[in-house]
Amino acid sequence: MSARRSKFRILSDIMRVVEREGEANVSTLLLEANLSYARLSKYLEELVDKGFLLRIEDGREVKFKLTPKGESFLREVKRIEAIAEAFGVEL
Amino acid sequence: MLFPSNLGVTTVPRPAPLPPPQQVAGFLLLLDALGLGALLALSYLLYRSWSITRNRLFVFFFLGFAVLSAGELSRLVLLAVAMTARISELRLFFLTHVAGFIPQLSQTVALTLIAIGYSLEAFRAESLQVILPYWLLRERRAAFWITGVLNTALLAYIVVNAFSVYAASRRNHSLFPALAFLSMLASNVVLLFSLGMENELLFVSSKLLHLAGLLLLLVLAVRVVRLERKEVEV
Repeated sequence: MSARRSKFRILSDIMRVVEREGEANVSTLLLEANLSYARLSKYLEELVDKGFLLRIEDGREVKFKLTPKGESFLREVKRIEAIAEAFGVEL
Repeated sequence: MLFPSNLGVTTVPRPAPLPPPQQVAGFLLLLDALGLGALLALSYLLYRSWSITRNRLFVFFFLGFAVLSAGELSRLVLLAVAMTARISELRLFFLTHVAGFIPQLSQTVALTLIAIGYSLEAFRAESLQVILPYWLLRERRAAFWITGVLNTALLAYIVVNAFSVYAASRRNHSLFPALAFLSMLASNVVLLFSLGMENELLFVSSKLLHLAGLLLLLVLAVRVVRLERKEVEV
Protein backbone atom coordinates (compact mmCIF):
# COMPACT_ATOMS: atom_id res chain seq x y z
CA MET A 1 0.00 0.00 0.00
CA SER A 2 1.39 3.40 -0.97
CA ALA A 3 2.00 5.98 1.75
CA ARG A 4 0.53 8.79 -0.33
CA ARG A 5 -2.96 8.63 -1.77
CA SER A 6 -3.48 9.81 -5.33
CA LYS A 7 -5.95 12.61 -6.01
CA PHE A 8 -8.25 10.07 -7.66
CA ARG A 9 -8.17 7.95 -4.51
CA ILE A 10 -8.86 10.93 -2.21
CA LEU A 11 -11.82 12.14 -4.29
CA SER A 12 -13.31 8.66 -4.51
CA ASP A 13 -12.81 8.15 -0.75
CA ILE A 14 -14.72 11.38 -0.02
CA MET A 15 -17.53 10.33 -2.34
CA ARG A 16 -17.76 6.87 -0.77
CA VAL A 17 -18.24 8.44 2.67
CA VAL A 18 -21.00 10.70 1.29
CA GLU A 19 -22.61 7.68 -0.40
CA ARG A 20 -22.52 5.64 2.80
CA GLU A 21 -23.91 8.45 4.94
CA GLY A 22 -26.51 9.62 2.45
CA GLU A 23 -25.82 13.19 3.51
CA ALA A 24 -22.49 13.92 5.15
CA ASN A 25 -21.41 17.04 7.01
CA VAL A 26 -17.88 18.40 7.11
CA SER A 27 -17.11 16.93 10.55
CA THR A 28 -17.93 13.42 9.39
CA LEU A 29 -15.91 13.87 6.24
CA LEU A 30 -12.92 15.23 8.18
CA LEU A 31 -12.99 12.16 10.39
CA GLU A 32 -13.56 9.58 7.68
CA ALA A 33 -11.51 10.99 4.81
CA ASN A 34 -8.44 11.62 6.97
CA LEU A 35 -7.66 15.07 5.55
CA SER A 36 -6.92 18.51 6.90
CA TYR A 37 -9.78 21.03 6.87
CA ALA A 38 -8.09 23.14 4.17
CA ARG A 39 -7.49 20.20 1.84
CA LEU A 40 -10.95 18.75 2.40
CA SER A 41 -12.55 22.14 1.62
CA LYS A 42 -10.57 22.36 -1.60
CA TYR A 43 -11.57 18.87 -2.72
CA LEU A 44 -15.23 19.38 -1.74
CA GLU A 45 -15.32 22.57 -3.77
CA GLU A 46 -13.89 20.70 -6.75
CA LEU A 47 -16.42 17.88 -6.40
CA VAL A 48 -19.29 20.37 -6.21
CA ASP A 49 -17.94 22.31 -9.22
CA LYS A 50 -17.74 19.08 -11.25
CA GLY A 51 -21.31 18.24 -10.35
CA PHE A 52 -20.50 15.11 -8.35
CA LEU A 53 -21.71 16.48 -5.01
CA LEU A 54 -24.59 18.73 -4.05
CA ARG A 55 -24.04 21.29 -1.29
CA ILE A 56 -27.03 21.56 1.07
CA GLU A 57 -27.18 24.34 3.66
CA ASP A 58 -29.37 23.33 6.62
CA GLY A 59 -29.37 26.30 8.96
CA ARG A 60 -25.79 26.68 10.14
CA GLU A 61 -24.85 23.18 9.07
CA VAL A 62 -23.52 22.39 5.61
CA LYS A 63 -24.10 18.91 4.20
CA PHE A 64 -23.07 17.17 1.01
CA LYS A 65 -25.07 14.70 -1.05
CA LEU A 66 -24.23 12.63 -4.11
CA THR A 67 -25.73 13.78 -7.40
CA PRO A 68 -26.76 11.28 -10.12
CA LYS A 69 -23.53 12.22 -11.89
CA GLY A 70 -21.62 11.43 -8.71
CA GLU A 71 -23.37 8.07 -8.39
CA SER A 72 -22.46 7.29 -11.97
CA PHE A 73 -18.87 8.29 -11.29
CA LEU A 74 -18.70 5.97 -8.27
CA ARG A 75 -19.84 3.08 -10.48
CA GLU A 76 -17.00 3.98 -12.85
CA VAL A 77 -14.61 4.05 -9.89
CA LYS A 78 -15.59 0.50 -9.01
CA ARG A 79 -14.82 -0.64 -12.55
CA ILE A 80 -11.49 1.15 -12.56
CA GLU A 81 -10.58 -0.45 -9.23
CA ALA A 82 -11.42 -3.87 -10.64
CA ILE A 83 -9.27 -3.27 -13.72
CA ALA A 84 -6.45 -1.87 -11.57
CA GLU A 85 -6.70 -4.92 -9.33
CA ALA A 86 -6.66 -7.25 -12.34
CA PHE A 87 -3.39 -5.84 -13.62
CA GLY A 88 -1.79 -5.03 -10.27
CA VAL A 89 -1.95 -1.26 -10.76
CA GLU A 90 -1.93 0.64 -7.49
CA LEU A 91 -4.24 3.63 -7.54
CA MET B 1 -27.08 -46.56 -58.11
CA LEU B 2 -23.47 -47.36 -58.83
CA PHE B 3 -22.83 -49.64 -55.83
CA PRO B 4 -26.05 -51.52 -54.97
CA SER B 5 -25.95 -52.97 -51.47
CA ASN B 6 -27.68 -56.27 -52.30
CA LEU B 7 -24.76 -57.90 -54.15
CA GLY B 8 -23.23 -59.36 -51.02
CA VAL B 9 -20.19 -57.12 -51.28
CA THR B 10 -18.76 -56.15 -47.91
CA THR B 11 -18.67 -52.39 -47.78
CA VAL B 12 -16.00 -50.65 -45.78
CA PRO B 13 -17.49 -47.84 -43.69
CA ARG B 14 -16.24 -44.52 -44.86
CA PRO B 15 -14.75 -42.06 -42.39
CA ALA B 16 -16.94 -39.11 -41.51
CA PRO B 17 -16.50 -36.38 -44.12
CA LEU B 18 -14.38 -33.47 -43.03
CA PRO B 19 -16.09 -30.07 -43.03
CA PRO B 20 -15.29 -28.03 -46.12
CA PRO B 21 -12.32 -25.69 -45.65
CA GLN B 22 -14.59 -22.67 -46.16
CA GLN B 23 -16.72 -23.72 -43.17
CA VAL B 24 -13.67 -24.19 -40.94
CA ALA B 25 -12.32 -20.83 -42.04
CA GLY B 26 -15.70 -19.24 -41.41
CA PHE B 27 -15.77 -20.69 -37.89
CA LEU B 28 -12.25 -19.40 -37.23
CA LEU B 29 -13.31 -16.02 -38.61
CA LEU B 30 -16.18 -15.94 -36.13
CA LEU B 31 -13.89 -16.86 -33.24
CA ASP B 32 -11.41 -14.20 -34.37
CA ALA B 33 -14.21 -11.62 -34.33
CA LEU B 34 -15.16 -12.69 -30.80
CA GLY B 35 -11.54 -12.41 -29.66
CA LEU B 36 -11.28 -8.99 -31.26
CA GLY B 37 -14.40 -7.91 -29.37
CA ALA B 38 -12.80 -9.01 -26.09
CA LEU B 39 -9.62 -7.07 -26.80
CA LEU B 40 -11.49 -3.94 -27.85
CA ALA B 41 -13.67 -4.05 -24.72
CA LEU B 42 -10.65 -4.39 -22.46
CA SER B 43 -8.77 -1.67 -24.37
CA TYR B 44 -11.71 0.68 -23.83
CA LEU B 45 -11.88 -0.09 -20.10
CA LEU B 46 -8.15 0.49 -19.75
CA TYR B 47 -8.42 3.74 -21.71
CA ARG B 48 -11.25 4.94 -19.44
CA SER B 49 -9.18 3.99 -16.41
CA TRP B 50 -6.26 6.03 -17.71
CA SER B 51 -8.37 9.03 -18.74
CA ILE B 52 -9.93 9.27 -15.28
CA THR B 53 -7.01 8.39 -13.02
CA ARG B 54 -4.15 9.63 -15.26
CA ASN B 55 -2.11 6.75 -13.90
CA ARG B 56 0.76 6.15 -16.36
CA LEU B 57 0.72 2.40 -15.88
CA PHE B 58 -2.69 2.18 -17.51
CA VAL B 59 -1.20 3.74 -20.66
CA PHE B 60 1.10 0.76 -21.20
CA PHE B 61 -1.66 -1.78 -20.65
CA PHE B 62 -4.08 0.23 -22.81
CA LEU B 63 -1.57 0.64 -25.66
CA GLY B 64 -0.58 -3.02 -25.38
CA PHE B 65 -4.15 -4.25 -25.71
CA ALA B 66 -4.92 -1.64 -28.40
CA VAL B 67 -1.97 -2.85 -30.51
CA LEU B 68 -3.02 -6.44 -29.84
CA SER B 69 -6.51 -5.47 -31.09
CA ALA B 70 -5.01 -3.90 -34.21
CA GLY B 71 -3.06 -7.11 -34.87
CA GLU B 72 -6.18 -9.24 -34.43
CA LEU B 73 -8.11 -6.88 -36.71
CA SER B 74 -5.49 -7.15 -39.45
CA ARG B 75 -5.52 -10.96 -39.08
CA LEU B 76 -9.31 -10.89 -39.38
CA VAL B 77 -9.21 -8.67 -42.47
CA LEU B 78 -6.54 -10.83 -44.11
CA LEU B 79 -8.54 -13.99 -43.48
CA ALA B 80 -11.74 -12.38 -44.75
CA VAL B 81 -9.99 -11.10 -47.89
CA ALA B 82 -8.38 -14.46 -48.55
CA MET B 83 -11.74 -16.20 -48.12
CA THR B 84 -13.95 -13.94 -50.15
CA ALA B 85 -12.01 -11.89 -52.67
CA ARG B 86 -10.98 -13.17 -56.06
CA ILE B 87 -7.57 -11.64 -56.19
CA SER B 88 -4.52 -12.15 -58.30
CA GLU B 89 -1.77 -14.52 -57.20
CA LEU B 90 0.58 -11.59 -56.77
CA ARG B 91 -1.73 -9.92 -54.27
CA LEU B 92 -2.33 -13.22 -52.49
CA PHE B 93 1.45 -13.65 -52.27
CA PHE B 94 1.70 -10.18 -50.76
CA LEU B 95 -1.04 -10.95 -48.24
CA THR B 96 0.48 -14.20 -47.04
CA HIS B 97 4.16 -13.24 -47.17
CA VAL B 98 4.23 -9.61 -46.21
CA ALA B 99 0.98 -8.46 -44.66
CA GLY B 100 0.57 -11.78 -42.84
CA PHE B 101 3.56 -10.83 -40.73
CA ILE B 102 1.84 -7.72 -39.36
CA PRO B 103 -0.25 -9.55 -36.71
CA GLN B 104 2.86 -11.42 -35.52
CA LEU B 105 4.89 -8.22 -35.18
CA SER B 106 2.03 -6.32 -33.58
CA GLN B 107 1.79 -9.07 -30.96
CA THR B 108 5.48 -8.59 -30.16
CA VAL B 109 5.01 -4.83 -29.77
CA ALA B 110 1.83 -5.31 -27.72
CA LEU B 111 3.36 -7.88 -25.39
CA THR B 112 6.42 -5.68 -24.95
CA LEU B 113 4.18 -2.79 -23.87
CA ILE B 114 2.26 -5.02 -21.45
CA ALA B 115 5.52 -6.44 -20.07
CA ILE B 116 6.77 -2.86 -19.54
CA GLY B 117 3.54 -2.10 -17.69
CA TYR B 118 4.11 -5.02 -15.33
CA SER B 119 7.79 -4.05 -14.94
CA LEU B 120 6.98 -0.46 -14.05
CA GLU B 121 4.39 -1.69 -11.57
CA ALA B 122 6.96 -3.99 -10.00
CA PHE B 123 9.90 -1.60 -9.96
CA ARG B 124 8.05 1.74 -9.88
CA ALA B 125 10.34 3.04 -12.64
CA GLU B 126 9.50 6.27 -14.42
CA SER B 127 10.30 5.32 -17.99
CA LEU B 128 11.75 2.57 -20.12
CA GLN B 129 12.82 2.83 -23.75
CA VAL B 130 12.02 0.10 -26.22
CA ILE B 131 14.07 -0.46 -29.33
CA LEU B 132 12.65 -2.80 -31.95
CA PRO B 133 15.18 -3.96 -34.53
CA TYR B 134 13.81 -2.98 -37.93
CA TRP B 135 15.73 -5.69 -39.75
CA LEU B 136 13.16 -8.15 -38.41
CA LEU B 137 10.95 -6.90 -41.20
CA ARG B 138 13.42 -7.90 -43.89
CA GLU B 139 14.06 -11.55 -43.13
CA ARG B 140 10.52 -12.82 -42.94
CA ARG B 141 11.11 -16.51 -42.24
CA ALA B 142 13.78 -15.87 -39.63
CA ALA B 143 11.78 -12.95 -38.30
CA PHE B 144 8.74 -15.15 -37.79
CA TRP B 145 10.76 -17.53 -35.66
CA ILE B 146 12.50 -14.74 -33.79
CA THR B 147 9.26 -12.92 -33.00
CA GLY B 148 7.66 -16.25 -32.11
CA VAL B 149 10.38 -17.02 -29.59
CA LEU B 150 10.42 -13.41 -28.40
CA ASN B 151 6.64 -13.42 -27.91
CA THR B 152 6.91 -16.66 -25.96
CA ALA B 153 9.60 -15.18 -23.72
CA LEU B 154 7.58 -12.00 -23.21
CA LEU B 155 4.47 -14.00 -22.40
CA ALA B 156 6.40 -16.15 -19.92
CA TYR B 157 7.57 -12.96 -18.21
CA ILE B 158 4.03 -11.52 -18.23
CA VAL B 159 2.54 -14.76 -16.89
CA VAL B 160 4.95 -14.78 -13.95
CA ASN B 161 4.09 -11.15 -13.16
CA ALA B 162 0.36 -11.67 -13.61
CA PHE B 163 0.38 -14.65 -11.24
CA SER B 164 2.46 -12.62 -8.77
CA VAL B 165 -0.25 -9.96 -8.84
CA TYR B 166 -2.85 -12.68 -8.19
CA ALA B 167 -0.76 -14.22 -5.40
CA ALA B 168 -0.57 -10.82 -3.70
CA SER B 169 -4.28 -9.97 -3.97
CA ARG B 170 -5.97 -13.39 -4.18
CA ARG B 171 -8.86 -11.68 -5.96
CA ASN B 172 -10.72 -13.22 -8.89
CA HIS B 173 -10.24 -10.15 -11.06
CA SER B 174 -6.49 -10.62 -11.11
CA LEU B 175 -6.77 -14.34 -11.87
CA PHE B 176 -8.40 -13.76 -15.27
CA PRO B 177 -5.49 -11.90 -16.91
CA ALA B 178 -3.06 -14.44 -15.45
CA LEU B 179 -4.99 -17.37 -16.92
CA ALA B 180 -5.50 -15.50 -20.20
CA PHE B 181 -1.80 -14.83 -20.61
CA LEU B 182 -1.02 -18.43 -19.61
CA SER B 183 -3.35 -19.63 -22.36
CA MET B 184 -1.66 -17.29 -24.85
CA LEU B 185 1.74 -18.59 -23.74
CA ALA B 186 0.60 -22.18 -24.32
CA SER B 187 -0.75 -21.07 -27.70
CA ASN B 188 2.60 -19.58 -28.71
CA VAL B 189 4.53 -22.67 -27.61
CA VAL B 190 2.17 -24.92 -29.57
CA LEU B 191 2.45 -22.54 -32.54
CA LEU B 192 6.22 -22.88 -32.56
CA PHE B 193 5.90 -26.67 -32.46
CA SER B 194 3.31 -26.58 -35.25
CA LEU B 195 5.67 -24.53 -37.42
CA GLY B 196 8.64 -26.78 -36.69
CA MET B 197 6.68 -29.98 -37.33
CA GLU B 198 4.46 -28.42 -40.02
CA ASN B 199 1.46 -29.92 -38.25
CA GLU B 200 -1.93 -28.40 -39.05
CA LEU B 201 -3.66 -29.95 -36.03
CA LEU B 202 -1.17 -28.28 -33.72
CA PHE B 203 -1.73 -25.00 -35.57
CA VAL B 204 -5.49 -25.20 -34.98
CA SER B 205 -4.86 -26.14 -31.33
CA SER B 206 -2.63 -23.07 -31.00
CA LYS B 207 -5.38 -20.93 -32.48
CA LEU B 208 -7.97 -22.32 -30.07
CA LEU B 209 -5.68 -21.75 -27.07
CA HIS B 210 -5.14 -18.17 -28.20
CA LEU B 211 -8.88 -17.64 -28.48
CA ALA B 212 -9.42 -19.22 -25.06
CA GLY B 213 -7.07 -16.57 -23.67
CA LEU B 214 -9.00 -13.82 -25.40
CA LEU B 215 -12.28 -15.21 -24.09
CA LEU B 216 -10.92 -15.08 -20.55
CA LEU B 217 -10.19 -11.39 -21.13
CA LEU B 218 -13.74 -11.00 -22.44
CA VAL B 219 -15.08 -12.58 -19.24
CA LEU B 220 -13.01 -10.10 -17.23
CA ALA B 221 -14.32 -7.16 -19.29
CA VAL B 222 -17.92 -8.34 -18.90
CA ARG B 223 -17.51 -8.88 -15.15
CA VAL B 224 -16.06 -5.39 -14.73
CA VAL B 225 -18.78 -3.73 -16.79
CA ARG B 226 -21.55 -5.56 -14.89
CA LEU B 227 -20.26 -4.63 -11.44
CA GLU B 228 -23.04 -3.37 -9.22
CA ARG B 229 -22.76 -0.37 -6.98
CA LYS B 230 -23.90 -2.36 -3.99
CA GLU B 231 -20.61 -4.26 -4.18
CA VAL B 232 -18.65 -1.09 -3.53
CA GLU B 233 -16.56 -1.57 -0.42
CA VAL B 234 -16.62 1.38 1.94
